[in-house]
Amino acid sequence: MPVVRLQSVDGEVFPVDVEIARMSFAIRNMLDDLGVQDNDAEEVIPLPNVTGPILRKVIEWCTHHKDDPPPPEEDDTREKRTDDIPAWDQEFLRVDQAVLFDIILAANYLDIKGLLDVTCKTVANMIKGKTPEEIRKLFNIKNDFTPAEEEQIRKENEWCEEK
Amino acid sequence: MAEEALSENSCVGKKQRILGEDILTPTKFDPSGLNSPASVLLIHDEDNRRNNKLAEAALSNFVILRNIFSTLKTKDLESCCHVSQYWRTVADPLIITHYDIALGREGMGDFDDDNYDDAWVSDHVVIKERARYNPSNFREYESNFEGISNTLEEVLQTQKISINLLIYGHIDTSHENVTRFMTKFGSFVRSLSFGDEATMTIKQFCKLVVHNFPNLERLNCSMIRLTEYSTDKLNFNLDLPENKLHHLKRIHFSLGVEFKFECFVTILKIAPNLEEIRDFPIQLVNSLVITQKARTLKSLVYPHNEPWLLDANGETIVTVFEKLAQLQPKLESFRFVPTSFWPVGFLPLIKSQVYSVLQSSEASLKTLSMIPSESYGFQNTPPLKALKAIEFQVTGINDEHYFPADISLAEIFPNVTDVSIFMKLSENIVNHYFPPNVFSPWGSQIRKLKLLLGNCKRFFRNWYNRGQGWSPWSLTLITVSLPDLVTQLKDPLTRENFTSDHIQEFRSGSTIGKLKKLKALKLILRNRFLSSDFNDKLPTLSQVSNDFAFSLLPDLKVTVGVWKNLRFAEEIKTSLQPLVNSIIDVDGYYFEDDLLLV
Repeated sequence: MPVVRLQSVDGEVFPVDVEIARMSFAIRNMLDDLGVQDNDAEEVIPLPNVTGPILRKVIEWCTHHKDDPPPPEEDDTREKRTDDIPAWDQEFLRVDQAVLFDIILAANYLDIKGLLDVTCKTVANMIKGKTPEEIRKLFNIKNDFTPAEEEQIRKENEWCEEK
Repeated sequence: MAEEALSENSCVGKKQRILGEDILTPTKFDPSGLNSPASVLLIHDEDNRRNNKLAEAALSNFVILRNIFSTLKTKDLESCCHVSQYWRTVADPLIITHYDIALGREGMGDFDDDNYDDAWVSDHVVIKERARYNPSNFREYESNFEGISNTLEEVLQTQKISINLLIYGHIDTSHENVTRFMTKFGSFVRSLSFGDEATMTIKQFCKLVVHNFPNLERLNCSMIRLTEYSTDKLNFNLDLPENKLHHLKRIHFSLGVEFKFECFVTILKIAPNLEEIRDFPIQLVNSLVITQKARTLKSLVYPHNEPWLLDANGETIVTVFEKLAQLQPKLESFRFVPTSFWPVGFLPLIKSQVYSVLQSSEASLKTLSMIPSESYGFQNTPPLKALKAIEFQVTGINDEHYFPADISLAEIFPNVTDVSIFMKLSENIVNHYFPPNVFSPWGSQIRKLKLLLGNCKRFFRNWYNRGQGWSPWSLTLITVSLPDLVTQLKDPLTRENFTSDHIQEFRSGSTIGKLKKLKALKLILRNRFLSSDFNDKLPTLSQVSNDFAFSLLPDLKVTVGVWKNLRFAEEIKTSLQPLVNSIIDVDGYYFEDDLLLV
């Protein structure tokens, strides 16, 4: 199986099957732009935004999902679910919050839709049922609304609560 | 092999950092988030900082945040709206269904109260319903007040709505259907504009918007004919706090303005939290002086449709520019294109004021529409560093106006990358407007160019070709007259008469072929008076263009837009098919120009 070598920002180099590496659209484009052939095993693809440990996790996920069918096209009108995360992915994502967000950032940077979707669903599950204040605490987000703006938003949503 | 990559031994380079040990060891963290606030607090400071930094990076990324929100239901999205300003901007579009609603019918014209009895007309409603983030994803249908009311009530059971309301002509607020609609849905109106001309007193207008649209955020002040009747006995006190539009943040103008500055003073007074005025008609400048709202002025347009309204406001072009200069606006967009009926010699009279406006807008001005003239005082202007786009226009004014030959456009407009030229130039004066020694050095920084057909040949020559040779692109798709040489080159028989050096020389003379970085070319064809002669030549034109210009640029993506009402539209599409990557139908206004390059 042809191999490509991925180099993390901290210098770790990971030999990875080309087909697995190509699950990342960013890497796929890099390979295409560089004109890397399948047998160019010495070619090193630098990934300046991904650390070694996170890259290792990403490769682990891609390897497990290498035979998955391609994810469906985006459809704004289709309601997405969050209760359909496969058991393997749930276990894979039992990591601390920093690592979870690090994987999300890597999935976004590397443009791996399946991994981005499943990690975002995990975060969505963390948000569900929480109040705004609980969400702020959970992610350490600063409340930048003025009291007047908060009052305005509250009024806007009143109709919904009255129903 | 991939499994190898996951083993410790397969890694080459630095050893894995301690950070990685966290990753491969499951922690107590609960992805469901049920115990999250407490668990997060247990992490020690360093981890906490790293955690916060990563969370902040991920949760301030639009793509990531939208992906997260796309799986949430309305109730959770509403909670997200309350988290922070940024979260609100991302979550809001997911729970709001936007409706563009037009009341009445286009072309209703100006009704006066005596003749207003067309109840059926006032019951006509056109709805454009847009969903989520994609504004091009909409469905449009016609209905009446009862129909739209039922629709909106049903939607409100599960979603929030936002209405952009367009009112044609006079609106009879006493009409039962109108009253019902306004009472139930007026508070959802975020944007209001008028079609045709609506006539009312300023008090009537203010009462209409304040009473019916308390949450209005954007108001288009064009197409309303407002009067200040001193005999207006309407019981509506403009000074009361409850008679204000506290959420009105933006006022803009699109077409003509049919009221005097005094009316606009009143409108400004009912908008205490106004943040921006866009495409402001300069004849109303006195209203900004009186209300001291100059800081809200973001873009200015001269002329609007009625430049003669200067007189009606007791102004001249000199007085309005004097006032404008005193206000020291920080404009983001400035469109100042004197009209053809300007008296000769007027431009120099306001040179210092225009210069002053440019100076005060030095750090904010992003787009500028102008005639290529020395009368903007460019010799003394500091570099307009924020300026990204310039549009050159000419309207037939008789003054001498062109860029002086001793200025450096690269110094005045160092960051401009987009240039549009909407002017017809005769062959003999083109160098007056765009002297090659001024424009050529600047041309290398331009990334996007929008031109009218008739100018392309001359323009390319001046900026890129410096008059050397001619461009087959220009000759074919621009002047629509094939010289014998092109015809002979196209014909396989006569083409044999040319050596390869001849052909190479011919190809290297292609101006467009020299634009090696050209990635996209959009051509909009829209002259409805095209002759059959043009149509006959098109197949040859496209082939020649391909052979001698486009083939030199393999990465070039060419899109041709054909005005859908164009004579020979289908024939043109067929002929151009081999040449271009895509052909689209163009809807819109009629222009006399043959071709627009974008």
